[in-house]
Formats: sequence, C-alpha cells, structure tokens
Amino acid sequence: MMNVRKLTTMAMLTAISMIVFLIEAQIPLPFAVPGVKLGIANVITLYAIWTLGRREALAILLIRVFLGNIIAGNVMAMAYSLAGGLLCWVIMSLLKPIMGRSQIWLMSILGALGHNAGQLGMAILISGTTTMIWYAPVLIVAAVVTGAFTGYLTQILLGHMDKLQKHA
Amino acid sequence: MENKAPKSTKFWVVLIGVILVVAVAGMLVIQSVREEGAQVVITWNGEVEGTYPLDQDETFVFEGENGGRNVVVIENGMVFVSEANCPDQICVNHKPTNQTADPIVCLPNKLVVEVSAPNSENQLDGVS
Repeated sequence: MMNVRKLTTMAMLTAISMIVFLIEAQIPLPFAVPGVKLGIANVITLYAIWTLGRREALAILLIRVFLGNIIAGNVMAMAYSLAGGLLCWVIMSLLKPIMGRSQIWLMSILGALGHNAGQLGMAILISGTTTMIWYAPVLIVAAVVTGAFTGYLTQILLGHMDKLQKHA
Repeated sequence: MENKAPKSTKFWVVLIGVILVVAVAGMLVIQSVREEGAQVVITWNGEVEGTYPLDQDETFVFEGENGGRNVVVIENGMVFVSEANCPDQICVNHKPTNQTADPIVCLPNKLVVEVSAPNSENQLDGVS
C-alpha cells in the first residue's frame, strides 16, 4: 500500500528532477562531446533509491525522462535518455544492497558509466554507424567525474535531510 | 535497513581506477591513430548520404521529415557543421576537422560526419 506521504514525496521529487533536468538542458557545455552533461537529475534518482526504494526511483526516473524531454521539445533525445537512465538505474539498483551510504559517490560513478554506455549504445543503434565508439574513452572519463560529483552531492543532501528529520 | 556485506571502498576505487586507466589509454591510442583523411562520409538518418572529397569546397543542407536541419560545410580541406537546429549545438561547436577517428555527431538529428582515410589509389598531393 502506498501512503499519502510517500506519494507526495515522489511527486515532489519528480517535479524537482524535471526542473533540474530542464535547467541543465539550457546550460551550454564548453566541449563538444555528445551526451556529456553533469546529470544533476541523477541526484534525485539516487536520493529516491536510498530513501524510498528502487521501484519508486524507477517511477520518478521514467516520468522525468518522458515529461522532461517533451517539455524540452526534444523528443528525439528521449530514446537516448531512456537507454541511459534505465541502464544507470539497473546498475545502481544492483549495487544498492552491497554498498553503504558513504559509498554513494562510487555507486553514482558506476551508474554514470552505465548511463553513458546505454546512451552510446542507443546512439550507435539509431545513427546506424559504429563511428561513435571513438567517443567511448571520453565518455568513460566524463562519467567518472560527473558521477563522483552527483554522488557526493547526494551524500551531502542525505546528511542535511537527516538533520531536518531530527528537528521535525 | 542494514547492508548485507558492503565491499570495501578500496575495492570499488580500484575497480573504477582500472576502468579510468583503460579509458585514458584508449584516448591516447585514438590520438595516435588519428590521421589526415581525404574524404568525408556523411550519414543522415541512419543511411550513408554520400562520400565527398575534402579538397572540394561544398555545402550540404540536410532537412529531415521530423524537422531536423543541419548544414555541413567542406572548406579549405576541413569539414564542419555550420548550422543546426538541434538544442545542444554540439555538432556546431565541434572544431573543423580533417582527421579520422574524430566524427562530428548531431545525436538529435541523427547526423554523423566522419573523415575517412584516403584510399590507396587516391593521390592527395598537388592540391594546393
């Protein structure tokens, strides 16, 4: 049974992740590597995995990918987002039982690696050329950097939310 | 909820470190296999549109049925995307290139521009 508290939390997190996703899509990056971004929306996925559960995180992720890309007017990007997001979620969900809260930054790196692998695979599939495989090394390095960043953000966020809970 | 048996942080750091080292090695390998190409292969919507020589200035406009638009320019022996209506503009920001293993990609519009090595029978010299 899903209680109201959980439902409203999920709705809030979905809204926040969409806002983050949309703002991030407006930030131009100084280097031209397709598919590279900070992925701050992943903070929400991680936060949901740790506080609500894996299935709830998946639901938030799917709604964000669907609505976010429609609102951004970038329907073509949905396939890439979906492939990346799903693989990221699968990896992080598998890691959840064997990782501690202080290891979220590591979980996030491995999830980001999955995200970029999924996106690259989808790009190769859709574009019909394997030439994008040249981007794999750059995407791996980018995933380690951005994954560590979003994972660390999540750890800070969880710490602050703990304090809030205590004073509530 | 308690974790069953968290693997040590060291294990994961080493694993990610190994992946990182392999990736950096891969970047170096790609740098070293890059060479000046003679022709450009343009793939649009998953199909090869054509192969064009780099030594002939030309401009291609691609317009897809789903609204995608890209302008590919070959100029002074380099190829670049001068214009695109995709939201990220990654293809436009890509530096003009004449190198292999340095594809220009527009993911939203499904455009891939790739320089390929000269065929053995191609004579490149005496262009200027």
